[in-house]
Amino acid sequence: MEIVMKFNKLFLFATFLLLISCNGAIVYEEIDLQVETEAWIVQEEGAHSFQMIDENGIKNTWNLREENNYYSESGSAFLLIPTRKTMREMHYQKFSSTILGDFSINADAGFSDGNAWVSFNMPNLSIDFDAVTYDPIRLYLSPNSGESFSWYVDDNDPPFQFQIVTDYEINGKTFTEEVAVFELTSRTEILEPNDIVKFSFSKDIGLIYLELKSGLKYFRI
Amino acid sequence: MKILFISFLIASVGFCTPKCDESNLTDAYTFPENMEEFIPYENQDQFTLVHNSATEIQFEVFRNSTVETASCDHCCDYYTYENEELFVISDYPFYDIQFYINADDEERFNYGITIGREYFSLNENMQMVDSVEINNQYFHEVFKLKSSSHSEEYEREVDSMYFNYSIGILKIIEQNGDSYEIQ
Repeated sequence: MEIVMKFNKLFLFATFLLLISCNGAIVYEEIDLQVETEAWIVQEEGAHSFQMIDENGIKNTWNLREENNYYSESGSAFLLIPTRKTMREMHYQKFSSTILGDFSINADAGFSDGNAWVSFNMPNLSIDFDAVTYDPIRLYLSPNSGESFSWYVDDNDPPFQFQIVTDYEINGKTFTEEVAVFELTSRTEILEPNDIVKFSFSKDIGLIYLELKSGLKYFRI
Repeated sequence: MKILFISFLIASVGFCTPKCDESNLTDAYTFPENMEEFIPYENQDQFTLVHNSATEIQFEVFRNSTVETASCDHCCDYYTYENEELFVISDYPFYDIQFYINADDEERFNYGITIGREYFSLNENMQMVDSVEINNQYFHEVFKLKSSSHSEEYEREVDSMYFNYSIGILKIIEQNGDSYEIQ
């Protein structure tokens, strides 16, 4: 019996040594953003400062305030020994308007077993979508009223419409790059009059259309 | 030895720092008696600015009058000062506009206006014009104020404003050339 216990301890110790020695064989992967996904990030320097005009002729200026292109690290371990390390690329931009607030775009390369995704974060709502299938993943409403609402891909009855279109026409202009078009179709009762309910966002150029709950519309100049 | 020395220093600071058994009011800064002559708006006053596109934007003013307390670091004494805040609100998406007025020594006062990210200071260096025509009306004793902010030129949205103590905001001029004039 004593010999059996000693053998078990020896076996466990040998296994431990083997695992430690395998540390050099940690799986490392780097997931880069694909060009098509990163195209949602505003690339043109000239578009880093832009204006939108409302139906009454009043202009709003947006300026790029923050930009980060980096790799986010994550990993897994067995018995505290790292076995996998993943570096996935992310690209983030934040634009700011003194009157309408901030919006940001985040492109995330995703994990090896899934697709990349993109997030549009407006002052009162944010939407994530799959960068490959263009399916919406998550919606989060966060108006100043304090009442919030979330929708996830597994939920029924999305309170919004979201699609990616080409040759998008707005206010007499046609945008040939892919344009993400978002419209909140319900749950608007928790929003305030100056909260955003519709927006359109073009690859490479950025924000091209906004509509507030009050009905006021803004067009990219 | 080093640890003992550092501990001694810390203890000395702790014991030698004066403890405030009671705080003393050293000063009470008040506005001059005629201060209301310098504040153009009463609570719930309304006014309209007209954009160069002819769009009219209505504003309402909310005033908050308080007496604030301030003290210096590492002393027990404190002083009070009269304070006026004016919030200029519009239902239309517009810059946040606020007035900050507080009393200082010898009945002087500090007076500033923020429009969005820009700050306009009313001080002894500002220039006054006897008469200015704005929106087909003549206004007197008008100050043209430039932003005191440190923001970069390309980021500045509001360039200047016209103001007088009797009417208030007369004109706002944006960096892009657009303007809003009192109706």
